[in-house]
Parts: sequence; structure tokens; C-alpha cells
Amino acid sequence: MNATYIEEQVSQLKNNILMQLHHRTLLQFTGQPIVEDGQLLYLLLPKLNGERWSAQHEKAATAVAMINAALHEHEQIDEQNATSKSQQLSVLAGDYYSGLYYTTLASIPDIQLIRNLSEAVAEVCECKTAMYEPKKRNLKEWLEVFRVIEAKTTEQFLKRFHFESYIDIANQGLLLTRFKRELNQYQELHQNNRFMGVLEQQKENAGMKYEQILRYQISDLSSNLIRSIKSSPFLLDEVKTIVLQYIESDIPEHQTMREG
Amino acid sequence: MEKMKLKLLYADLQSDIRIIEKELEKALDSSSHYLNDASLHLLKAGGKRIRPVFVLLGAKFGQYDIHHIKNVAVPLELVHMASLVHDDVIDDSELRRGRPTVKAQWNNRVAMYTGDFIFAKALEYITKIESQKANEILSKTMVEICIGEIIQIEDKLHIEQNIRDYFRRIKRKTALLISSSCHLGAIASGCDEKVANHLKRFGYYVGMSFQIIDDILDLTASDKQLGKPAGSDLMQGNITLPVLLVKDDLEMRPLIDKALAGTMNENERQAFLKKIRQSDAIEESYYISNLYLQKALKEVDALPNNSAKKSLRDIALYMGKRKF
Repeated sequence: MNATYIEEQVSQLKNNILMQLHHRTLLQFTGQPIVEDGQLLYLLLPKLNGERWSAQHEKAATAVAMINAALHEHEQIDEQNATSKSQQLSVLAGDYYSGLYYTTLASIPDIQLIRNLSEAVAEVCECKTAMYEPKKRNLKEWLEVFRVIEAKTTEQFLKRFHFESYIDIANQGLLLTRFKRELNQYQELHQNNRFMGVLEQQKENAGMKYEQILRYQISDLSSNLIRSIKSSPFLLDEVKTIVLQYIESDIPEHQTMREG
Repeated sequence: MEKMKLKLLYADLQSDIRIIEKELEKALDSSSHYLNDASLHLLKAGGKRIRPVFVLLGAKFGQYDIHHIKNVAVPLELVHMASLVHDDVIDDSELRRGRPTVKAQWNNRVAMYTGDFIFAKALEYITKIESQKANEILSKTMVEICIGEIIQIEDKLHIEQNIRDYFRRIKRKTALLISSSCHLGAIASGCDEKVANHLKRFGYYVGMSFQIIDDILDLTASDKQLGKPAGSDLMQGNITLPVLLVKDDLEMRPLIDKALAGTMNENERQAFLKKIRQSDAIEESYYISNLYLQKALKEVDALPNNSAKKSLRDIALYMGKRKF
């Protein structure tokens, strides 16, 4: 196994998902669904690491990526005045992808997985809504909220198929991806968002500029994750190399999203 | 008043409907203060709960046990509720059933999360019946409904569409979820396939008839009865059956074009409503709705005799003849 093989696996799964989510009108008005390479990498990690992997695992991983495509699509809706045709179709795109992830899950068939993932989606929605609520949380609590938003569905997938040992890496990796994405977005657009508001209000971050806060978190998360990977007793060396390469790379431009 | 009349048609289901109401409240319980408020807000707004009613009536043709059947009835209502929350974002609606919408009370983003949350709860709930077939039916229905809504946006303002386009749209927009409600009730109660298919087709025909009536009423009922200006469908760019039937009328066409262009003033709206109400389009639309209704009643005739059969017939007739 080498880097090319892993890239091919991620790309193959991504193409398959995009093909299943394809809808002519949605593509025209809302663009390609957001399917993140990072998430696919963490979903495929057990397979890449040589664990037993069946068609059922592949379908379930596909469904998890579809769930995230659905939720990401709804992040594209403006808080006010979402009246344009593309905004209206983004609402429907998210709902359409939700219907397709449900169809995929229903075909597996694994009722327990549907239940676990539905619980995860509900929890993700609760955490996303938390950013609009007045309730005060400390930085640790917010980091947990962001972790749930980014990683809960992947965690449920890994749990369901007894790949528990990969959960910690996926959690850290997906949270790191989010911070990197926020940094990229901020550097490009310099726009305020809820994520920024939440982080800037934390007393630990007092006196720091938003970019500094993000860089600090990225550095902290990266070093912890790198440590976890390097010391992992179960990851194959070539998998470690690839994941480390991914962690050190930047997130591609098209994978930014507004907030949430 | 109308809701009261409808409730009388399934009076013997009232205690079971109360169980469903309680379960809806339980299902939507959340650790999030906003999601709890939004969900409670939706529940309090009420609604006819027609989908759960169809599930329960469908189930009466099999082994009826409310504690089992609720596991299908509750998620169907949740799916419907989730779609309403998102529809209000699409339509930029401030009010629903006289109450501020979730998007108006909070914002679009909270409305998106609320809809996604309710949808997830629907899926979580339906897993209680451990039936792959139920999941397959509901998931396919969800996809078709979305396709229908996407088509509705595609077809907006396109006056040169035909009646088949309209039927294709309303089938997905309304008829499929009612059809699936009847079908899932039958499946969850273990009805034989033949009976389940009669119920499925019944729901489809009733749904078609219901939506046509809804589209007629948008033009014939008063602003007060509708709670919005009559003719709103057309002014929002949605071409319904009565409009399709008059679109080539030389007097009507300029008014239709103005409505679609968003330049219709109040006098013109009144003139348009007067003309279309006097045209044959309304009667023809009622005729087509009635054809679907008759097909629905034929499906009822084919069902085994029991008390639910009469309720299905009465509800179908009520839905086909309602005034607003």
C-alpha cells in the first residue's frame, strides 16, 4: 500500500457518493454536494489499515458521508432572506440528500445503525443550535460541541462496526479539519461568523486575534493527533505516513463552508 | 370548524390520536432549549394529523395494536412537520396556522436545524418497528417528495407546462405521503399484500383529489378563509390545474402573465379571481378531483368490511368536498 492507493480509495468512494447524490437541477443551482476528503479518509481508515471490510461497511460509510453532505448543504442557508432560487434549492438539496442517505441505510439493512446515526444527527443539530442559544459554555464545552458536530456520525459508524480503536484519531482529525477550514475561510473572506463569536468570547482567548486563536487550536490539535498516530500500536506504518501527510496538508478551497 | 367536522369522522380514534400527540411531544424532547421551544411551538400549532389518522385506519385491516402502530404514525407526522419547517424557509413565510413560523421566530438557520432534528427523530422512531420494508417505503417516499418540490421550483413561472406536469408534481407533493401513510399502517399491522396495495392506492387517489381541491380553493375561497390573499399560488409562480385550464383564454392570459411577472395590482387580482371563478376551469377541476375521489372510493369498496372502511370513505368524501 502507498499514498496513491489510499488516494484512489478516497477518490473512488467520493465519486461513488457524488454519483448517487447527483441531480441535474441541484448541480446547476447549488453546485456539487460537499463531500470532504478528510471525512472519507477517517471513515475508510479501518479498511486502509487492513480490517475486514465488506460491502455493508462500504454502504454504511457512503451513508455517513451523505448525511454530512445533507447537513453541510443546510449550512449554506443564510440566516435571513434565503429567498433566491439557489437558496431555496439548497434547502431542498439538503432534504434530498437526507432522503438518499436514508434510502442507502434502509437498503443495508441494519436497523440499529439507522437508529444510532439518527441519534447522532439529532445530537449534531442540537449542538449546531447551541451556537444560537444564550447559554454560556467554557472553551472545553465548546470544543466538545464542535467535536460532536464534526465527528459524531463517523464515531457512530466506527462504534457500530467495532472499530472503536479508530474513534479517537477520527475525533481529533475531524475537529482539526474544521479549525483548518475556518482558518482558510477567514483568510479568504475575513467575515465574522458564529464560530468566531464563540471562540472570541472565551476567557482563555482574551486579547488574542481570531487568526491567532485558530492557529493556536490547530497547533494544539495537530500535535496531539500526531502524537496519537505516531504512538498508535495498531496503525500500519504506511497508513500512519499517509494520515500524517494529510494532517500536515491544507484543506482544499472548495471544502470551506460558512459556519455551523 | 372544518377541523372539528373532520375529527368527527374518526371520533372512535380519538383516544389513540391522543396517544400519538403525547408520543410526538416525547419524540421531540431535546436537550436544546431552542429546539424544544421550536418543536413545542409546532406541536401547539396543531394540525389535522391526517397522516397518523390514515396510518391508524390502514392498520385497522390487520392486527391493530396502537402501541405498535404508533411507531409508524408518529414518524409520518414528524416527517410532515419537518417538511413544513423547511417549506417556510423556502416560501419565506412569516406565519403558519396563525402563529409565527420557526424561521420568523428565530432565523432560517435555526429552522434548518429544527427540520433536520425532527427528521432524524422520525427515523429514530420508526426503527422501533424493526421493519426493513417500512424503512424502504418511507425513505423512497422522502426522496420522491423532495424531487417533487425541486420540480415545483423548476416549473415555477413556466406557463407552457402541461397538465401531466401538474399531476406529476402533486403526486409527489401530496399524494405519496398520504399513500405511504395508508400503506405503512397496513404493513405495520401485518395486512395481506392485496389489502395493503388497495390502501396504498386509496391514499394516492385521495391525495390527488385533496391537492386539486386545495388548488381550487386557493382561487375560490375568500382571503379571510384562506388566511392569505386568494390567488397566492399563482402570484408565487405556482401554476395549478385551474390556471392551466384557462391559460390560453385571451382575456385571462394577460392577467396570468402579470401575476407571474409580479406586477399584478389589487384591482387586477380581483378581476382575475372574478373571471376564473366564472370560467369552466373551476368546474372542470372539480370534475377531475372527483374522478380521483371515485377511484379512491373503488379501492375502499375492495377492502374487507370493518368500521375503518366507513371512516376511510367518509374522510375521502369530506376531503373531496371541503369548502376551505
